[in-house]
Amino acid sequence: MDADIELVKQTLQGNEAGFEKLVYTYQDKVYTLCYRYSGNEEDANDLAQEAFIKAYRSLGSFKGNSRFSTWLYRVTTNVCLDEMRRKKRLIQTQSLDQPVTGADGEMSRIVADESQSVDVLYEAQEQADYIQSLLNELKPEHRMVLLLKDIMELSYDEISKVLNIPSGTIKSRLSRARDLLRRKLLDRELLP
Amino acid sequence: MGICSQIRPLLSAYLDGQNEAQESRMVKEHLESCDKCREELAQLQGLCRLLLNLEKPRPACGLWESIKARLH
Ligand SMILES: [Zn+2]
Repeated sequence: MDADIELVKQTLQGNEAGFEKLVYTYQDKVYTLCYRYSGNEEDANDLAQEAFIKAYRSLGSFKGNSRFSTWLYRVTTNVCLDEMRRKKRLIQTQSLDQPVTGADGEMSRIVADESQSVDVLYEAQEQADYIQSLLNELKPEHRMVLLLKDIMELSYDEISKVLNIPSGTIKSRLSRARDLLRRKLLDRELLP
Repeated sequence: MGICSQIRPLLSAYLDGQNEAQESRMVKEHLESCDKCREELAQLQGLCRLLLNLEKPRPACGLWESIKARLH
């Protein structure tokens, strides 16, 4: 964390390499959040790029009284919520004949595991796509809380700082979002 | 069903250990005697596992280069 603060300082002093290191440190997390929020690679890349550029431009407002990651998540969630609201584009569920999501190597990594049959792989992918389609259906505010908690593994306290909402609101959004997903997955017999 | 409908909205926060002490005790006690609510809690746990195990996709290569080009 201190290392992050040091990199922020370097960046503010005009050393771009400092920011490059911050990007490499956090790009996977920022991208995962953007991907699960938007539901597709193209938007996720745009959103992640936008988030880092916003972060760079407003770096002076990072006062170091929270962790840099918390501040960066805050910038990222704002970009996601704003951008997707602006686009108001109906995101279609990814169809199964599209390539497996993710950057290079992902498919080969899965296929390399020979203990899994093609059917199991297909089923796993189908299930992941279905879950993503359910995420896409959630209200943006509910979806974001769920992603931060159940995918990004942030604490209630961190989520509260990132989204600037009290823990009661986190609880109720999380409860609603999880309940909706639970019911839909149950309908498909994807839960115990 | 009365008590169950009070308990159910608390299960999500119960899972995260985020209920008030009194609520938490109430849920715990109820779960000992109610199969239905226990089942629902197990389903929520299953859901959280599914979400956590979702693939964490990685950005296309060259993200930094694209960002860098737009910084100035
Ligand atoms: Zn019950």
